[in-house]
Amino acid sequence: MKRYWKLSTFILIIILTIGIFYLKPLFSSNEYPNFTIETINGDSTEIKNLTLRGSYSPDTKLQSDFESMYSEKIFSLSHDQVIYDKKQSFFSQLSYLDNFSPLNRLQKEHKTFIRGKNLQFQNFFEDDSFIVYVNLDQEFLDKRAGKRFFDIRLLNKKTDEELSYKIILPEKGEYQYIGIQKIQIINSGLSVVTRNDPSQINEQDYQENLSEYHVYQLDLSNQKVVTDHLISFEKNPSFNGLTQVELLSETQLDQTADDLVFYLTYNQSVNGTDQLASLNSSSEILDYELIHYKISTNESKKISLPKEVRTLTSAFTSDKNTLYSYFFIDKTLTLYTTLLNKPDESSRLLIDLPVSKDSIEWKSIKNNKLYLVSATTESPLKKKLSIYHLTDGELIYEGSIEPTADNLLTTKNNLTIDNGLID
Amino acid sequence: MKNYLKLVSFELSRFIKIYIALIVVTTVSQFAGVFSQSRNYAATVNQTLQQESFSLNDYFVSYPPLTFINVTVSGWFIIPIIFSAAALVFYSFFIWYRDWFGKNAFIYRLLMLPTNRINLFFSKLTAILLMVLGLVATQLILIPLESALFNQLLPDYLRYNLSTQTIISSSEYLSVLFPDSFIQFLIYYGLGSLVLIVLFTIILFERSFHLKGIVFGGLFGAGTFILMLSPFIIQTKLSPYYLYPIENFAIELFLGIVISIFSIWVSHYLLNKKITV
Repeated sequence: MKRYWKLSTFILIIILTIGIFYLKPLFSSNEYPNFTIETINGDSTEIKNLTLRGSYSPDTKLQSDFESMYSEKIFSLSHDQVIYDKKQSFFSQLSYLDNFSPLNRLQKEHKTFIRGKNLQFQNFFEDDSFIVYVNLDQEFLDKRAGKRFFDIRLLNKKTDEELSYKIILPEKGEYQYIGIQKIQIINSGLSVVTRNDPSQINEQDYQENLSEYHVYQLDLSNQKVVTDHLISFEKNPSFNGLTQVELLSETQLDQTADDLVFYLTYNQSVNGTDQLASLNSSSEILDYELIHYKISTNESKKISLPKEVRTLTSAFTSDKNTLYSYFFIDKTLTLYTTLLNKPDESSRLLIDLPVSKDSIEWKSIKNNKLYLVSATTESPLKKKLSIYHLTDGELIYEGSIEPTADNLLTTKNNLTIDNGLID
Repeated sequence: MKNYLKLVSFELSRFIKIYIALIVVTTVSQFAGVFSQSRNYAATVNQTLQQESFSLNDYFVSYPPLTFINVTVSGWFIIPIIFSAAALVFYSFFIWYRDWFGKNAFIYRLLMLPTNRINLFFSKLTAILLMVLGLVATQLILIPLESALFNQLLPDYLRYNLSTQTIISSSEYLSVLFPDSFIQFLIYYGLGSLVLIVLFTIILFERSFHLKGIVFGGLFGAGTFILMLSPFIIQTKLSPYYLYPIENFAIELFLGIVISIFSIWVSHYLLNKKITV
């Protein structure tokens, strides 16, 4: 073997160098610091179903100005663990779904049913008895592919029986794009809400063609579309700028409420001349309307909000059958809660927050609770998590998101929490 | 085994001068890159401070500090890597053809050796793989050294220190050479080995049947390529995303192993029965 010492040394150097490179991160915790949510006040079960999504980087400046060069370390943080995307096993990283997606549970429990599906959240509906999947064969118009059709799969959770249907989509006009927004089973009938964008030919069309929202009621036994309801939005005739409409209701897998809230905005481009520019971020909202649509009765109605919250700085969110409208002034949040079955009555609530609006990194309203993550002055790595009950504005949970290693708090490192999921 | 090791050692020693030259060129170029990048950066900062009457603090409000990632995207750093990779690709052909077209048709002696002829195949394959991994290891040794020089050349306030791991995972090019996990490393370099095995078989087809061999080799290469892609082609035609990623991975792994074994078997056959000098 002596005569091969050169070869042996060469191989040894290769193994050692590559081995150390791949083993070293296992022993250094600073690259991927551990974060926890420490409960300060309240019941820690409040955060059991909460997963926060954030990113860690060694320096604020690297993160904000240097994004293309430096890759932030993205992680999910729940009450008991932090999972960095890059630290996940190679096989977890291979998945079509990120570990943040609520479809993960469905995939785990019904692997055969989920196989080969278009894993977009809004294509699925689940209740105690069924999982329904609806997909459109072509979202963007492809004239060679023929008529668009719905591919429907239905899984009976109790019997494990799987049924499939194909239903041709009757199109009243030519639509450049049709996207599924929501699937609902109401009174044993399957309804699919879609956004249809008419084909645009010239610049003029951008202003005239508002996105259409359709509700298709499907008859599975006869494999046909029973009704195609076009949700109508009455545009303000005196307005000649760009009108846009968006569906406000957040899609949730297990949501059986049949209310939809639409946000209709009247926009004008900032320089006032270039209408096309108004499609970009350079447009400003001049006025807006909120419209409530009930799938079961096909009725739409304008929601009239109290004058105080009808400002351009107000934000809106809807959860199940409730609309929340709110705005911030300094450290006070003014929130109006409107039950969609009684749209003319809104209750007003004032909440004193620990910080002003600018320090809030993420907020969400779910199950009549307000979730807030805000920056602290102590360290860029320390955030405050607050949960308020929206019936009385009571602070029901207060926690601190912080690194487990104290020495990190004094560094220039940066943490951002920008998303969250509440199951 | 002894003959195999002897042959690997022999193959490596035949390329050693060019190999060392590649390492020297890479080292010199990358160190020169660190030097010029940091000097240029310091000069640019100074110039901006003077022209705009900025204070240093004002400067870093608008501009980020320099990191070693900036150095890794410069030509000084990347070009020698590309050059070395190209040299090894070229040598993958040359390692066979030099035996036929070199002085005294050396292949005569190699084929006459009292050892299984497939050892020739394996020794050449091992030599190329070791050379690739050797260059990769060299780069891994160089980065911390270059990073240390970078830290020496620039004062604290002009730079931001990053670990070797962070530099590599943030660099588009380096993360191809050194993927995030060891399993990915094995997959990348395993795939590279598969390509090399098939390439060697194609070369042996050509050496065995000459012009006809180019056609056979081409068909063999195209066949293996299509076979590797077949799970994706079938899924695209029938049902996109039908298989879960882990299932795709298992099938690809299986196909890769089958193609490697088959390709080695074909090479063994060609070397023993068909090869002509």
